[in-house]
Amino acid sequence: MAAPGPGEYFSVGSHVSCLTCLGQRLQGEVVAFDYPSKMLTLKCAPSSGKPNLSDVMLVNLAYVSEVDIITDRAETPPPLASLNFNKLVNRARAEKEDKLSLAYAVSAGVSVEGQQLFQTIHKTIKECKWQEKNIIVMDDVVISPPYQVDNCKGKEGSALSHVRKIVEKHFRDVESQISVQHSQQAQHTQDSALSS
Amino acid sequence: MATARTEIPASVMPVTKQNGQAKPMSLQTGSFSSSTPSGKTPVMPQKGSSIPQSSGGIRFGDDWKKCLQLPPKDTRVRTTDVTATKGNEFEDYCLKRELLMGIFEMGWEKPSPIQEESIPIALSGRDILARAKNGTGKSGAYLIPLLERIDLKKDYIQAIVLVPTRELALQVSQISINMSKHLGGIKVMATTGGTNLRDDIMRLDEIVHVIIATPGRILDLIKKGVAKVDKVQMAVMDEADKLLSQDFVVLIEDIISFLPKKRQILLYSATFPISVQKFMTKHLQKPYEINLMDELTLKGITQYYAYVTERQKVHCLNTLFSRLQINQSIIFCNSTQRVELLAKKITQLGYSCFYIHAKMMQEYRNRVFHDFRNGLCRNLVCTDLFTRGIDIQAVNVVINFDFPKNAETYLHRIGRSGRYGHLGLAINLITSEDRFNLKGIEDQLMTDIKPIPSSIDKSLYVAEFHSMNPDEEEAAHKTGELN
Repeated sequence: MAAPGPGEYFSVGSHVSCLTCLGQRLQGEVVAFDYPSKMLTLKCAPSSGKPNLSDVMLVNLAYVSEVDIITDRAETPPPLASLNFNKLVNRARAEKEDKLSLAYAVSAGVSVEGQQLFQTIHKTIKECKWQEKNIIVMDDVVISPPYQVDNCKGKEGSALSHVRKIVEKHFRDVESQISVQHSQQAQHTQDSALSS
Repeated sequence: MATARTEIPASVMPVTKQNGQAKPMSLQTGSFSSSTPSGKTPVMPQKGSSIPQSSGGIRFGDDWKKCLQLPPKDTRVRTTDVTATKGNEFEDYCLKRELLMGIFEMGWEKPSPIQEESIPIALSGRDILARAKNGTGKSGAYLIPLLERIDLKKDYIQAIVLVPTRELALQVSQISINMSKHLGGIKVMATTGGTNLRDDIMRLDEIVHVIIATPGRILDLIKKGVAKVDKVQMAVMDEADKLLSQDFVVLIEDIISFLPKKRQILLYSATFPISVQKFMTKHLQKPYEINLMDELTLKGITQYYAYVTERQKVHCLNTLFSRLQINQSIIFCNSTQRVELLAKKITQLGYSCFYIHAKMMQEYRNRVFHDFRNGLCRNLVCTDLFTRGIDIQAVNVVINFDFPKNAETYLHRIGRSGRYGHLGLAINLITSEDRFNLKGIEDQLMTDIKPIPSSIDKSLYVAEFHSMNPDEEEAAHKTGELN
């Protein structure tokens, strides 16, 4: 709203602090406020640590027990940044496809090892999909249960050898992680023995 | 200078590879335990891990990273052109350790978006058509898979990179040499027109694995039977839109005809004209298409115009020189004559400058380019010959003394600053004749060129004003590592 009305609680650009009913303290700059739905949008410090990004929080004031205005802003707020809707639509579709792919693997009864391997491959090669219980990579390589290096089949060439390298590295990394956990448990056991 | 701990003699490589391949998994696990470092002080590698692994990949806990000769950390803010990634690491691509060492020692920490999209697909042998801006890590996107796939046991040319200008060939070859220094003997050769043909012929009598070339020269060498490209498995065309323009396309088609039927072709281009589409349809097989060109100009570049008469341009430039905090600048003119006239005028104003244009001898141009990028001079005046893909990180200001005629030229010119996601400034001197051109270019590139303000915020283009505090950067970096 351009003109301040009787119902407007927060000015765009103000800094506010909220205490949610869960005891969580949120602090940030007001980006938008919708009086009928009582939704407040805050721009907060980035959780990723990247200085050129921000977290955007949507807060339902019906679940906020305490609101403090740290600094109020009286002048006209700057124009909102333009949004690239094509980019947003593409991102939403890609996220949805990823989630559906995950759900498919679970419903097909794929083992946890298979699901984890799929995630590792998909991390670098997006052309990766399920065909029943088989992982199909770039329409060239088929990985069937139990998803070991020997189970990678396809036309001999770079794609097959590269996928085999990924599978080999994946299981090597998994084994390293297990070793780390084991040595940590052993250390913990020793510590417990000393303390008792 | 490489230390004994990081240098791997070529003769050791085959033995190491065999040992690495022969080791059973359990021994590798044992190696991990024995190689766990204690305390922060780097120690000599444990005996169990003193033999470096190569094609076996990198294992968790390897301490080879401690021996890297890393360059100083680049703390400048970078835009999402290079930070909007999926979070992959170079290790995720199963690269040889020696190649990873080269990558990290060039100061590359994580793959940029074009590298994330490109590297695994290129390693899988697929043809690629990639649209990406200059300055976003494109060279690494094709050089990393190219160098990874070179087989040192084969003594013939295995890969070629075609680029449209001599300066770009020199730059790409230098990156290749730096990145492959631990790979134990990959031979990279740059060959371009304007240099001694006899030297190239003699060079090709020795082993060459990779050739980086401009089209005319390499075609000459191929037709003379000196450069044998019948076993090339990977061909890269950087700046493909330029390589496939009228000037070059006949040469390119001829070169392609000498390549084997079974080869991989990677095309990188900032624009996508009909000529690139035609070539793709004709020569690429089921190419993997990558498009990172949501916006056609670099995010970190702030663009302004100043409305002046032709007679006022020099005075305007003088004002810019006195008011802007220029690290290095490139000033573009539309003709060789105007380059020389302006360079002379700038010198008279009391500022130092180099200049470069197409009519100069190639060796002289190479030397000027080399000296400028080494910081021997603050300003460079040139024509568009110089625009393609040249990467000089110190350039933070680009001035279009003469406004370009088309959007493509404009895009490539202003890409000279804002390299690799850093911030930069582009200033256009506009006369009444340029007004419609300015509007057309704005519309075509979907970008915003504003009137120049009386003072320009230094944080938009000066590195010191948007650098993160080194301590904060260290904390953020460590947090990232922990995550």
